[in-house]
Amino acid sequence: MTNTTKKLLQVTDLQIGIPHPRRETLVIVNKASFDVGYGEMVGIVGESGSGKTMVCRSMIGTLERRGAKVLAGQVLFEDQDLAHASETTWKKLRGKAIGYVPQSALAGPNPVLTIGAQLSEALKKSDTKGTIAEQSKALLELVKIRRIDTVMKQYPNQLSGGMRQRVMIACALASNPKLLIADEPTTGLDVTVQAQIMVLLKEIRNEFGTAIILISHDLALIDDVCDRVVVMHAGATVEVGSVSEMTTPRHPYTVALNQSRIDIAVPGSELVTILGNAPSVGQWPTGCRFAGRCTIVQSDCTSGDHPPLFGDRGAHQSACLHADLLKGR
Amino acid sequence: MTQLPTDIKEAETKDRNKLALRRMFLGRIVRSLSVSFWVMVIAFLMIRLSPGDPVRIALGAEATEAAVTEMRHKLGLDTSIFSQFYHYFTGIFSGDLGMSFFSGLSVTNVVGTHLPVTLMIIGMSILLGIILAIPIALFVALSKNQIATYLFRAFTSVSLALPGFFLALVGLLFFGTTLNWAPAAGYTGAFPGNLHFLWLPAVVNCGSLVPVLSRVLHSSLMDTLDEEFVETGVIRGVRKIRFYWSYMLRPSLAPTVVLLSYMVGVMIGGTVIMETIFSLPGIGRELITAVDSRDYPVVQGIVMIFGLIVVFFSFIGDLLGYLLDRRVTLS
Repeated sequence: MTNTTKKLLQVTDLQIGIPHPRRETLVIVNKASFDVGYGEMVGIVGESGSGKTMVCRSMIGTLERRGAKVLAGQVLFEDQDLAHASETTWKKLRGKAIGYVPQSALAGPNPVLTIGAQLSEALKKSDTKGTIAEQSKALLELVKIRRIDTVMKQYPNQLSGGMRQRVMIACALASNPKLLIADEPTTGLDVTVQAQIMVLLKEIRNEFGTAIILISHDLALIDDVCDRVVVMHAGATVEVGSVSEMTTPRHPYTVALNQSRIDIAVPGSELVTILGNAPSVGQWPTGCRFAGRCTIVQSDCTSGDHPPLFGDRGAHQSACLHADLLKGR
Repeated sequence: MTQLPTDIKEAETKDRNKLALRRMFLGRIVRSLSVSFWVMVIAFLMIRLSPGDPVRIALGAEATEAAVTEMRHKLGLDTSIFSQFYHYFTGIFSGDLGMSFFSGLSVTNVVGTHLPVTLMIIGMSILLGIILAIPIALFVALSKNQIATYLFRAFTSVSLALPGFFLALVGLLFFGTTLNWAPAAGYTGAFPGNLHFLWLPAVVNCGSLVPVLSRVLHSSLMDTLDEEFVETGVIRGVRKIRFYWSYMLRPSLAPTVVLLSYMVGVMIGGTVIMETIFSLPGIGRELITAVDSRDYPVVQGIVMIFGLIVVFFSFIGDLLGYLLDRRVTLS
């Protein structure tokens, strides 16, 4: 992947904050940069509060609902800057080129509407051919739901969590989007269903060339299905690279994440955890925001701004000033 | 395609769901019927347990013992309480609620004449209550304005704290005397002419109905707004009326509807006072007169009808809540 190919989505130096009428604006994302290519499957990992969900909200226009707004930076989707799109622009954009699969499978579908009604809602915005009933059935078939005629007439509370999430994926695919955002789509689902959903997402990518952003705090999961990984820590992207590049991480946070993976844990030994807690929003230190938890921290790490991503866009990038120290580890 | 384990499980649960629903519905009906039975029993016992003898009230203090015994026999009060209950209970099923001790009218007749007035007041109150409460709650919930929320809380609290009879008197003074928009007393005519006499009592009822309904609806709306499916709807591009109805109101309405059905019971109790203040010939006023004279058949008949109305409305409320939102159970 070279940096000359046109990207589907380019997030550059994104800064998101929650304005407060009396106090200072609370910055929750600062220095987030990454790309998503056409048909690429990108995973965003990070602890809770690292800003991964907020970054995604800037792509679907729901920051304002949560009282947040983009302070600076760009979210370039094809040729349109979503970061500063007005509500009127969003009204035109929503339900079209970007699909969204919510975090909670159980609370995602509208409880008072039948599955059929929700699919037809989603289909109304698309300009694909065929009657809504035919298309709905095709969509449910696509996400591998059987007894389609029954399911169409059912309410979400009559379906299992896995089924509900399949329905949500079907709804998100209704407008034939170029980008699908899945925010921790397997939260609350049991492991076998989790795996099925992941396989489904990957199949959708392979079949339709839909680019997918998969948000998760599970690095192992992302390694399994994604092409590239974006690691976020305390509101900033700290490392970006392909899955294979990530086997030799260039940021101490990624190293720590790798070491704390459950799938590589040695049975009988204690699980490796990351030192300390991520600094809370509003209490970010000067310099590198990971410095307080870092094993290779140097004197110059704690002054100035949080370091940007070093290296060429599209290549393996890290925001560590001393990535060289990680070599040979 | 291989059969996924979740699908097999799903096929089994489908039939079970249908069965469970039918059982739930039948269970709710059975429960309503059993409550109705107890309503009949209590209506019968309540007036008999209260002190005072209808015969002595009717004949006055100077009545002879012979006259008392004779009248007691005529009214059937000399039989055992079980026999009286049997008579009353079997009568209900043939539509016979007995005769008034004093007017000689049948209780069915009394109820038939006066109940429509009361039901009309309650119907108007419900209608007006819904028309006012929904937009108010929706506006306050959507504005997310601190001041609007504060004012809403303050006004509803004050309005709830004011007793109905006080509001009724003030309303009567203001609309009836100062503005002359409503008649100060009396009642004539059939629908729709009678609305002229009934609108003010309905408005006064709304003094407590609207705050209660809008407070509950407001808090459900606030909860709904935080739900993930609302955000999903926004992202899907659902807009305007469909969004307001399917993504905001409908998922929030069930508690309000159920509450409204219970408020009908509260209002029925309140009509006794309301009809007295507005001098309306409703069933509540009949009840007061009947209680005063210990007119057993009339009292037990009216109390039973009140009870049945409450049971009926709470059944309808639960059913409506379920139809609006399938997360509600009919248990």
